[in-house]
Amino acid sequence: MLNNRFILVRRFNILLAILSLFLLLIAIRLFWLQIYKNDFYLERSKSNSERIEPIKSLRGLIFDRNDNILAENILTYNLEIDIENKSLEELNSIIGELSKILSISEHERDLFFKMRSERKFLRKIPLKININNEELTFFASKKFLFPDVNLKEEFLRSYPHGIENAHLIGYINRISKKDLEKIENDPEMLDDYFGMTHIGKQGIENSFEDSLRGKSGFKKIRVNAKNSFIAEIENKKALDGEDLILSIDLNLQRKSHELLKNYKGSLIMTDISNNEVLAYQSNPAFDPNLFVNGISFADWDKLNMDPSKPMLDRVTNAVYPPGSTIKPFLSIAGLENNVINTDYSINDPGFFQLPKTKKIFMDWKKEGHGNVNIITAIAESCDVYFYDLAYRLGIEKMDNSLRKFSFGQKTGINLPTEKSGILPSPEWKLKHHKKKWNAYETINTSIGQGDFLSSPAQLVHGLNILLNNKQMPPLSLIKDKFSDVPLSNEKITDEKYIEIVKKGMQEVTSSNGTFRSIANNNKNKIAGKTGTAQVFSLKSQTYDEDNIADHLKDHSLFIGYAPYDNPQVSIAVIIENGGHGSTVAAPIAKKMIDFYFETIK
Amino acid sequence: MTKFFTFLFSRTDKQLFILLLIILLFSLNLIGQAVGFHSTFFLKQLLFIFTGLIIFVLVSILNLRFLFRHSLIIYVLSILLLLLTAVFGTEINGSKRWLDFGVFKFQSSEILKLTLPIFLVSLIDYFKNKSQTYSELAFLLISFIPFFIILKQPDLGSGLIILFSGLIIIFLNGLSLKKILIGILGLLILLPYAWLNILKDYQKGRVLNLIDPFSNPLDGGYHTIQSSIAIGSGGLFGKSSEFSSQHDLLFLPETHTDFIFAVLSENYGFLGNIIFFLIFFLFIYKLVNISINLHSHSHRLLAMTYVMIFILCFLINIAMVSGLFPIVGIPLPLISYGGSSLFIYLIMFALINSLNYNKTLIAD
Repeated sequence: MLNNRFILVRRFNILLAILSLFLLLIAIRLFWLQIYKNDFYLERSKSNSERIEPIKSLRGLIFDRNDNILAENILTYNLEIDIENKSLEELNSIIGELSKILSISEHERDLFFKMRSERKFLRKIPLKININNEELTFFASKKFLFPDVNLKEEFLRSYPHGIENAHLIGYINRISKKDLEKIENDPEMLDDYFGMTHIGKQGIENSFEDSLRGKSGFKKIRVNAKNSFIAEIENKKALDGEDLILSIDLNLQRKSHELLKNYKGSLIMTDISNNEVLAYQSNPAFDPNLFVNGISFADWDKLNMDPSKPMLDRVTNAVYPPGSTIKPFLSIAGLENNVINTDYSINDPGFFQLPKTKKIFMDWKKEGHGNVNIITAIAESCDVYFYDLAYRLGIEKMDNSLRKFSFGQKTGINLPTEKSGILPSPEWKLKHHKKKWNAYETINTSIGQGDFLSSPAQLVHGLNILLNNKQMPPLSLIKDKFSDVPLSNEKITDEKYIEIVKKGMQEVTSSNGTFRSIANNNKNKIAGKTGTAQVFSLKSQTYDEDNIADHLKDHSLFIGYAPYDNPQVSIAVIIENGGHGSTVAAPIAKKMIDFYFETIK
Repeated sequence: MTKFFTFLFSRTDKQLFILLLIILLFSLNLIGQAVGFHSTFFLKQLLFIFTGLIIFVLVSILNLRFLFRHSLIIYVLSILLLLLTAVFGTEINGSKRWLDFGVFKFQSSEILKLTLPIFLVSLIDYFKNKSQTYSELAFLLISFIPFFIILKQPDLGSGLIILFSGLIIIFLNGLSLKKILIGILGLLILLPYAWLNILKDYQKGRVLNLIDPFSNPLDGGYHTIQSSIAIGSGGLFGKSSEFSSQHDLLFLPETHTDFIFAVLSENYGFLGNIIFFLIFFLFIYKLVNISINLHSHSHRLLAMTYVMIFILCFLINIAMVSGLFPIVGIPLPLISYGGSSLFIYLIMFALINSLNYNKTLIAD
């Protein structure tokens, strides 16, 4: 054991050498962390302690022209769960515990998990919306059992006159996956929607989404590892949405809802002077309040499976053959192209034979109207007069004139789903059907049949252009909001032609007109034009109104205005499968107009 | 009075003592930064250091022959203490490692760091005329007894340190190369068995987290990630005050105990770490020097073993905090908050100091 010490020291040195290597490794590691990856870890340490909390903007209110509220935000309490770092099982168990003290429906649970899977950046997700006072106090007393469940004051969108304004106001709903894709592709939108849960889906709520929503803000705060607040770093205030005052009159909305209640159809009433919409009604409708927090599957199915299509906005999103309501406009075409004048008259034998062919076009009145001029042709809605007019005018000139009244084009009303309808022309037919125009189609077009389609909104817009004899701004749902596009004051046509057509429309409500039923009861001086649009062309059979399936019955139409000596309001009414224009649509229009003057004065 | 102090300091290596004081002041500063200079932890640590220094002085003047002579009793008492802990110990975070003395909880496994080497070294004379293999197997057995008890607490980290101290003595005492190779081979064979049967799930998790801490950021990986962030964000000179620190915001738990190195790295940066290493290097250099120059074989062996334990724990703790090593509950020697570990190390250094003073008195 003489070299004991030598061995010992050597072995000791070996161990020291090994540990020195270990130390070297540690030094390299520290260099890597502190020098090489310093930026990365600094950033990590910052984001570790920073939380961004969204501040929702308050959605703008919607009023009617008389300051009646149509869409409001009511203060409610929601039950929210902080889902951060929680597994599905944990959340299920929290909800399970909660359901022991509160009623939590399957629907609420589904919506919660749907939102959780779709909205990746939300930390808190509402489980129960608008809990009542009793539940509120009960939960508050048990709150200590649920550290991650909180009561959150939240404004809930509410439509106090629900169904009466359903198609007009539309509704908001939770942001869907599809909306989210759109939002996430636009960085600016992503900012505005930060933390927002709802988006306008239909009607005004959709088309004015940007101004109603405002811009959400955020609060950047520093928290510690227990998520307790330490300090505020940045605060960007939310910009609340703007209120919207509509041109709509709530009283007229209610009245129109009541009048259309038993029909499938729609109605639009406007202020002739500025093209502002006073009433906008489509029936059947729905309760928009159902949608605000996610409609239940049962309710959604019910609305969608209903054959009467309550979700369809029949004012702008449905187009119909205009039928005889096109005749006043066609009259202008005839007059300004000198095909007809006040002295021109024809003898109507009850049918029209297309020259050089054997094709016969029947008048709706089998025995014929006898001798008719432009005034009686409009008043009695003589088909043969307009067949003859169209034949001599030709489709091109016809279209040129009708286009001035905006047929086949959108009215530009501020709603998301407006359809443009169809003004048939040889070009249109070639483009869409790859077929040549036939002469008889010109004849069909003259009575608003064939491929001719327009929405009630288009009819009233066209009527307002006619009555003003100038281009009108787009139909507007907003009070005192004029189109940015400067419109020419140039007359569309010679004023005297307008006067002739107006005279014809005035005669419609006289004792000789198609709407003669009000001839002795027309204190508000209503003028207009009835229309009956064929849904189904009957070949050999005769049309027997009493023995035909409801859905094959003609659509009943009416366009009108009042008073005829000083036009103020105009209206278009369509009742699907309602039969003659004079029997259903026209009386509804009269009641609306009468109600208007009653309430205005 | 002055005589007493001159007596005391005449028996103490002044350089070693000054370095020790510097390190302890460093520790106080870091604990203060981790938990606040007015916190009870800080005040308690101040008390521990004060008490520790008194113990250091007392042990320095102890007659060491007494220790060697009664090493068997000391060993048996240590084992009894471990068993006592197993029965009456205080359970914290699922493991029973502490004996509660009211004012102070004592981690009983720490004492084995001190007593096992004394017992083993004292046996060297006893085995002088026996075969080397015989003594080595005996050493192994003696080391394994406390290892298994500590393993059951459970405290794998401390247990392995105790086992290692035994192995270090065997190695330093001239274990042949053949046996070393056999040992390594045996370890390799045993390793899969240990992985499957001995290691608990959380212990395996800690090893796996090391490989990929971000795979499990909220459970086991959390400490590794948070301490890496703390260290990494320290940069070269330490994190400026405009950034919130990891430990202030409680992201990094246990900063005053096992993770105190992260506080050092975050506040003083890479440069601070280098200075810290330099101080420790000087201190260790001093210890190594003393150890090598002791006159008796058994004294050298004991001192070297203590130095090895000290260096090993020091490196393992830093490796663990910087994410190079699984999370095992080994505090940073002399720096981490806590009395047990501090007292044991101070006693170790006091013993080395005492051996140094007495080397002229004790013949080989």
